[in-house]
Amino acid sequence: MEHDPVIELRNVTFAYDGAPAIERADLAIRPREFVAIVGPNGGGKSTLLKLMLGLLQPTCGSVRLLGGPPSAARRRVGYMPQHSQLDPRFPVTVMDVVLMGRLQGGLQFGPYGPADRRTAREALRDVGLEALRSRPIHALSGGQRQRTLIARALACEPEILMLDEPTANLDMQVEEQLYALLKELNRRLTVLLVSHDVGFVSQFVSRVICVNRTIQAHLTSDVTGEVIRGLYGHDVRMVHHGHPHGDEHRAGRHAHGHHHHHPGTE
Amino acid sequence: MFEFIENVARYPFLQHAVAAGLLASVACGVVGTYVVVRRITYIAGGIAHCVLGGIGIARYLNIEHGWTWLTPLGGATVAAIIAALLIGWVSLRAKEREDTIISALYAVGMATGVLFIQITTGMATDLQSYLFGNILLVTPQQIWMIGVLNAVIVGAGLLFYKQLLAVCFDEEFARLRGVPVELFYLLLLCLAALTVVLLSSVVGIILVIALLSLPAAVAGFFCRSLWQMMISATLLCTLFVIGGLWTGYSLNLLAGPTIIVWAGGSYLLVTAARAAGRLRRA
Repeated sequence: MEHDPVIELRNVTFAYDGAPAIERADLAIRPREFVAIVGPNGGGKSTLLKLMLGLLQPTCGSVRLLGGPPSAARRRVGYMPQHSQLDPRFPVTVMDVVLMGRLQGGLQFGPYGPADRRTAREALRDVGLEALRSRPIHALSGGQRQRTLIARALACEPEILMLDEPTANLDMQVEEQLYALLKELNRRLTVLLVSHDVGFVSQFVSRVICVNRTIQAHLTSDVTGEVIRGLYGHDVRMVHHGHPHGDEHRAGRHAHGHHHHHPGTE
Repeated sequence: MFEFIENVARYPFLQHAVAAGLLASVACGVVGTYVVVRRITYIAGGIAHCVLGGIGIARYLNIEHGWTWLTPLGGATVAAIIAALLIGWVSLRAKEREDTIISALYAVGMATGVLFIQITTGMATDLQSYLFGNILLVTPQQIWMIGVLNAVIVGAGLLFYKQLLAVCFDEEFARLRGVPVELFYLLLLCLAALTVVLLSSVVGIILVIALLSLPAAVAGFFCRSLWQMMISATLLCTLFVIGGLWTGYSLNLLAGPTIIVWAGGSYLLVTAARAAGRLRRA
């Protein structure tokens, strides 16, 4: 049971108005994996997440989430959408947003209870934002806004964390802190994230899934220039890091950070 | 101002006008906030125009067929709910043609109303008060009905605050949490429809959308959460209604348009002040 996949796609095809966005995808993700989904813009990364959550229905093939249909199990997933989908001027505080993770199905009356507030505060503590809980979201930095959305996903008390571009528009230092946080959370949760930055993300995750209409899964150690060329259709310079943890690695990252290439943003 | 207060104390019709205005302001603050942050003012505007159809049909049946129990306010309420569900269904199902269909619906609703008003004896002179408001003619019976509608709207708007907030902020996430988002979207449109009916007795159908959205829009400039915005919008709406009644009464102008000039003027002033502040900082 422990090793049954938490997410399983079998021969999944999805088409928007006839043009397939995902074609014949097979994929199994096991408990407590840390997986990055990478690929060019428009390659189907977000579509893949939405198929897993049952927000989109596959044209053919089957998707199973935590052993059942996605719509039955998706409340056990903490999802973070691309932050560009949300209105940054919306009048809500950090706490208001995180409490949304405590919503339950059906018709519940009245305000959130004290237990919900406690869980939301714990989630905020996990991402280091407890002190900013009364601040409106338009007064947050990009990194704080991303962490607010991660806290909202954590407030669902999920078994799987699914994050769509959690590091978009962040500077490198904040990005690295965010990955360190996810690594920490990965000790108790399965983590799945969409990233535009294959070179950087591959040092944190255990598996990279390359999506460009079709799917290829690689162990991190197998991600080579060849693979990336095949995915993006051009050369991408990669930075290899001998030490995935600790200060030595951090110093190294900054030293050659400028070599990093962001294929998705070009 | 002092003279106005004296007159309110003396004349029951002014007391009724103030009471109707104050009651409508609460619904306006709560629902106007949802409508503004969810960016559906044009949908609420469509509903408002359809209301004229309900008023026209109700008056026709009332006068020509002796349905004395059917008041224009009752007809407006029924028409508003039907319009809200119809427009809501269109906006959920027909994403691409949404604006065209909504425009067509409200034009037809309005045209139906005008035709029924034309064939009803002695109605044509009332048309102006339906279009631009007749707050000075509000009867005690209407105030009761406004009070009941107000209680329903504010009750539902506050009872489901957390779901409505989530649906307005991030519908997809709310859906993932198991919230029936389409049901709450339709509920929101029905609340907007009822609020439109309330406010149209203050400022009329044409101007109602300004009174629904402008107080919340002004409040949105300085509020950090939705409930603060609701309270501020309620107070602002009260201010505009009382201010409009006062200046309208003093200068012998129609109350409805005067209220809207207050609301629109305040919105422009706040927008200009913010733009000026931004220029100075830059």
